[in-house]
Amino acid sequence: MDKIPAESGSTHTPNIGAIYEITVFDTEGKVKQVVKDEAKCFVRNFLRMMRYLFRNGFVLNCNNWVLPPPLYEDIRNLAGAIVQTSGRFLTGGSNPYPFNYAGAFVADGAAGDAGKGIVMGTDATPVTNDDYKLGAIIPHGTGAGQMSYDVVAFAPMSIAGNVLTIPISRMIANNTANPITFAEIGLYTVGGASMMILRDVISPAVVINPGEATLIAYRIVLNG
Amino acid sequence: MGDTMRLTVGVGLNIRTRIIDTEDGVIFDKTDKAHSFVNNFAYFLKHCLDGIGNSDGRSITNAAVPVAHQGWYSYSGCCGNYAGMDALGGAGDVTRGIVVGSSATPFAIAQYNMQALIGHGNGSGQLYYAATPTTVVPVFSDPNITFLVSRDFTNNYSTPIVVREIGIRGNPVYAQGNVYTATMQYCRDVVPEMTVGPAQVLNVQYILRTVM
Repeated sequence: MDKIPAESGSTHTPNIGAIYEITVFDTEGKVKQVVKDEAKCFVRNFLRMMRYLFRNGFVLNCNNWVLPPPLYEDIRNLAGAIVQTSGRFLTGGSNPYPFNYAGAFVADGAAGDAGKGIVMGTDATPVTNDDYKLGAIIPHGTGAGQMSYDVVAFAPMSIAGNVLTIPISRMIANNTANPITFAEIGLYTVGGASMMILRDVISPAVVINPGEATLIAYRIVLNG
Repeated sequence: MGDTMRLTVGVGLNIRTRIIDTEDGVIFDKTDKAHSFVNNFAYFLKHCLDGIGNSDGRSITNAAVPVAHQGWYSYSGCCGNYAGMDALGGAGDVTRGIVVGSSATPFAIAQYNMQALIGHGNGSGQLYYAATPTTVVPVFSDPNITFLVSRDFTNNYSTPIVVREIGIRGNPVYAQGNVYTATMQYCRDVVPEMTVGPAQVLNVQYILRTVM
């Protein structure tokens, strides 16, 4: 894999990068462990959705439907299927306009939703940009091998010089009777299809004991 | 905060500029790192992720008239809008796609406009804007996942024109008490001065590529 865009002939800081920070809290809420590193991979779906965004516009006006034909993108969804998405997601509606629309790849997972937002898993298989899901996601719940996913939080963006940061975080707790080890994290989004746009392998893996919780934060960084 | 961590992977953005002479072929070909993304793009990206738009009170800024707006629009009524940058311009469209200008004012992430846009046309001080993309179709080049946006600018006048800045614009939806669209600047870059002679064509490519 090229370290830098082959066309440039020189190295440079990526224009869009990400950092992850994992904070583990013990049963008393004290910080027990912090793991922080550069996120390693925006996967194929992210670039495809970026391309979608550049190429498409908007739909407007109930009474004068001006839907331009979307320029679809081939997204590999969480099931591994190639699906054509226009970036919108459907939430119902009524005839003759049965579609509702929202953001292109939304990560605002609610509490208990392990299909959207920051997620964790147990598979340490190295990342490739062909990845389309975590290797072995840890589902939501309080049973054996499950973690309790809180709501995804979006803090305000910060700007320092020509660097702009978009923070996303999620608290995930172990409410089971046994320790749970996670070795991968990712960012699942919904936009016409459920898809993963980021995946990272955490090494060494992190252990969350019963009653403990971890705050996983991604900070997407734009470097001007 | 540790966001000063040096990043080495992610998505890189390069600019390739070429000048094509009708008789001599390609007479200039250069690729540079892009600074590019300005605040509006970040707000847009955040909207795509949180689905809220004006979730933290920041405003986007209209490129044509510097008016701040509330944020990107996201709607879930009987009809609505989906988020898109709407950045593919037709021939002559200076509100969408790649645009060029003559100012060398350094890049700043807070910029919301070209500093001195070169207009479309065949007259003095103008360049003829082809459609975006033109001859180069956006493609994914496995395994590095690349796509590019391209546009040709032709000098159909009798005197040279100097280009010092380039950018990308689009007409997305924004919210300002209601729903509107406006021209927004997503990227701006200052490039080494290029002189486009009469009958010459400047081709500009923005290349997004994963960096692993």
